[in-house]
Amino acid sequence: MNTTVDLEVKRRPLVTGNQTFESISDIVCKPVEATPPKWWHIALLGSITLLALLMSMIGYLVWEGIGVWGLNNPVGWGWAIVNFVFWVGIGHAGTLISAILFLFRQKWRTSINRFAEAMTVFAVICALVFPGIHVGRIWMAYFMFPIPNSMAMWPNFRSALLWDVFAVGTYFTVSLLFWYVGLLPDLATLRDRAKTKTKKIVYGLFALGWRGSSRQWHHYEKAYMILAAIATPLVLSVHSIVSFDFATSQLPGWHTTIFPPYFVAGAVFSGFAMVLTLLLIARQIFNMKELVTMRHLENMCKFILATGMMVGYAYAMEFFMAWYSGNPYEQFAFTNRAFGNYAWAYWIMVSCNVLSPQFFWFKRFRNNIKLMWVISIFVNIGMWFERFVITVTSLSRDFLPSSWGYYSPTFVDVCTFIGSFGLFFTLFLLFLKFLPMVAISEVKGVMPEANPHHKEAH
Amino acid sequence: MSTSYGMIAEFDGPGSLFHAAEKIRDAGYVSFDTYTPFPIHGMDRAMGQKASHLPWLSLIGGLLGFTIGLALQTWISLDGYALIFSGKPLFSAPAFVPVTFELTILFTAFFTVFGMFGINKLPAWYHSIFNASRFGSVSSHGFFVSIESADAKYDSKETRAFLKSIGGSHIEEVEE
Amino acid sequence: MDKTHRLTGFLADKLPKWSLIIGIIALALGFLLGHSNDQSMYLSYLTAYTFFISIVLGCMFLVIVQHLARGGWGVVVRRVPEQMMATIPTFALLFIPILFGMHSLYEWTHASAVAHDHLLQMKAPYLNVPFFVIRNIIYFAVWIGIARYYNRKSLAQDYVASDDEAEQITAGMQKRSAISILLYALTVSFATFDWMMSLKPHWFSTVFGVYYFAGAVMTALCFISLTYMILGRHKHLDTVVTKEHYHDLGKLIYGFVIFWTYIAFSQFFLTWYANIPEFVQWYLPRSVGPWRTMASVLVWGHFLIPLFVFMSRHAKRNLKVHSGIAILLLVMQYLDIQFLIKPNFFTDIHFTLVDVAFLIGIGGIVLNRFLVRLKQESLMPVNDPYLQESLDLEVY
Repeated sequence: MNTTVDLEVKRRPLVTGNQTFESISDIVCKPVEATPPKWWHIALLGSITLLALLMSMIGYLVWEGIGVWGLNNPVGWGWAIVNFVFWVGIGHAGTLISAILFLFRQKWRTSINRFAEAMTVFAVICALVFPGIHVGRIWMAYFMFPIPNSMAMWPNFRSALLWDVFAVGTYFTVSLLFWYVGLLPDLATLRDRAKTKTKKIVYGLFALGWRGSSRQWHHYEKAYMILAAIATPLVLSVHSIVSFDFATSQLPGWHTTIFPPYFVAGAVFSGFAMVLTLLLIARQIFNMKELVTMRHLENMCKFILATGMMVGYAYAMEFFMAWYSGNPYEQFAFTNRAFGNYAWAYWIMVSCNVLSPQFFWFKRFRNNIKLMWVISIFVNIGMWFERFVITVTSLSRDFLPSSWGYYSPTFVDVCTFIGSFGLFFTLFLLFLKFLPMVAISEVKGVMPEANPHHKEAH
Repeated sequence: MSTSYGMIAEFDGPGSLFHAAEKIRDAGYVSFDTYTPFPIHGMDRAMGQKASHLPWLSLIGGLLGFTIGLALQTWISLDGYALIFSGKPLFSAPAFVPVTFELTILFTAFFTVFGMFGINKLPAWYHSIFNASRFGSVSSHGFFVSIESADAKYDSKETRAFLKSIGGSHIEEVEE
Repeated sequence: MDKTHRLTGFLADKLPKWSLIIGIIALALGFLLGHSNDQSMYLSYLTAYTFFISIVLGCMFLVIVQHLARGGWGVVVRRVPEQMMATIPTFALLFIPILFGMHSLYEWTHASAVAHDHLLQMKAPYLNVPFFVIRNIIYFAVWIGIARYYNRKSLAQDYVASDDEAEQITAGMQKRSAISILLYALTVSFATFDWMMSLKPHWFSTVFGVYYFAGAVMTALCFISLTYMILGRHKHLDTVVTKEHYHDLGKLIYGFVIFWTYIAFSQFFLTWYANIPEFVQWYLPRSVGPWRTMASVLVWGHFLIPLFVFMSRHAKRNLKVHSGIAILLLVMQYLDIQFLIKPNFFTDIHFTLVDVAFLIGIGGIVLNRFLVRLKQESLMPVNDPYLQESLDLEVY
């Protein structure tokens, strides 16, 4: 064997360290069964504080009205919509990992999918907060749904904003179902391992009496397969519909036909970055390096690079087309992005999203955990700025110079956004404590020993 | 007086369980099942199980969602609240695509998940098989086979001997 | 064990010979029949050309992406796309008539038109004859480079003596896949803009490149499926390429049918909704008269029929159904190209004898180049490290 070249051709094992079926259950269940460490309590306290901040900001908003935000004319969409798109975007990695990688038989997904799915569900919850509160009179939010009412009024189905209600609502519901179906066998594991009566009852209740029967597995696997097959177009549709909020308009910088796939690529990009950010910490703290191996992390880096390049492709195409269009408004919209009043935001976006992932071309950096983590943070920041650039820059400089303006957030905007992280992390920490963060049965299923013909002659 | 649910035997891994299932199937038993911590590929064939009908349920769900989505929007836009928005015709097929699509997916998902629960008879918070003394390991590392007393071929003694002959250990009769 | 399979019989001897002869005659006939109306003739040529090159470009993508993803299942069905993409130099030669026809095809080459058109003047730094030629030279250079590299390495791998060497070669191909895909994405996008979008130089769409790409990959997959079925009927690889592989190919076809629809719908939908004149101008001629009918044909044939038929696992594994869908989609891709090109110039469906002649002409020549390459080497990459994985494939 030639050792001068580091060959990656050979398939590396998905689980390292001589694991058995039992030891996998042990590793994954340990954080759930052990008393939570001190840092967990501290982190939860911090998160709940932030959550309280979010709640008070929402309360203040409802009491005072939308005027407490930095919105003005012409910038009628500010941080609320930016945060909404940011969180929905993050919520795309989970279902992508569960569904698309499942369909492509990427077995390495099993170590990270549960984690990412949980993140998806929580991120979508955070996202749902923003359109809910930005309507202003939130007690009227039921207008968004086709509910018969005494005024005989119905929603407008030709509005992009209404499609969002259905898209994000469906996405949340299906992600939750998908997550729960995946959890079912693992809840049974926790039930069977439970030492206290309360745990046994609660986990038993949610495990629905799962008994690992092969006759049940048969239908279960079919259901999982179908869910994956329908979740794949769903993932594409959700962020495409979010992009329609912008792209169906006539505003230069918003109306461009590449928006749907571009938003989807960006969503996957940001979602993967967020998964990586959290996963790197969790695998360190919970000692899961044998389940979440370097191979998994490297694959994640490659995904980030690939989707980052797609986002870069879209930036480039937009710019080229703006010039090629010959339309002065289009051209202005894009020159203004790069060199106008919000140029700083634009360049933060480009350097975070396009430049920083370039490190991942090199194996050396794909194996450097610290750098990986830093880049994943950069991508998160960059993707937030991308939505900021799209939303605010375009609005602040529309057709008539007389109606131009500049938007700055108020402390309420900033605190609401920071508070939304409180909501996210509160849910996430509770997840880490009460549910298995790795799909136990799925990881066992991809171990070589799980093949009934393992060790038999081929 | 308790009645018997059936006979349970433990096996040491996916391979031996797989071959045991094949032998039980070939011996002519029908009411039997295997229990594993994770799905074993090919087990449905080893046990002689027919293809799942679940996809048909999903398809029905999808068609239902599609119809409801389109009908809802059409009725609201043409009759329920007929207003011209942004110069679009009352019936704007392209504009109805997103919601129709989402509802198709939503209904498919509901039918798939709850259909799967229905076919598998879940939730089943009580099941006789849990009475087996070693069954708790099924969700971690245990591989079991059960032959139910409802099976025509079931005979307490013979079935026990048969399970032993195909390599089962810790054979135990489970109460209803 | 020698797993080398070589193409023999009718497919190796008579077919390449006859396809070349018929191809050249048809091509000549096309030019002869068409020369009375240059514009119409060159449009027919461009249509046939962009149809066939979409297969080749799709094959190129599939080969690169298999190395990029380090995929194992598709090894046994990789030789056909590898050999097909290697016909790209022939396409560089076949591009020459388009250069001659530029004046008939592209409004922006007319100095008089540009002089009276502010927009065209603004676009002149990009849309001008020398730069167009240079760009196309770059595209073909990139494609020939990629195709030659992957083709040669894979063929060389057939002859290596040890597993180590084979792995070295695969490692090299994997390593270069990322940069290849990047170059591929850029060149294909701009080639699409140049060849088809600039037929209507006032119109633009950022997603246009992706649109053509989606159709191209789908078409290439159909071509690959059909080719292996034909090879199988002639007792080549019929025991190696099994239903499992067709199942996977079918899934990919299905995926790309949906992807194409997604892109096509997005582009149409955003244009329709915003209703801005400069965007709508492209769809207006396509939404009236016979082109409207063509649009519905595409909705049915390019989306709905494959969507419902190929939903079933059994359909993908049934070679009759599978080949039916593949043929349908090849036809649809051709109609789609017609739909992209012709309504810019004609209000009626424009399908003439010249179109047929060029289809047969370019098709025949390409078929010859493809088969000649195919018969020289093994029909399967015999030393690929993932070969066993691919042979053992089981789809569930």
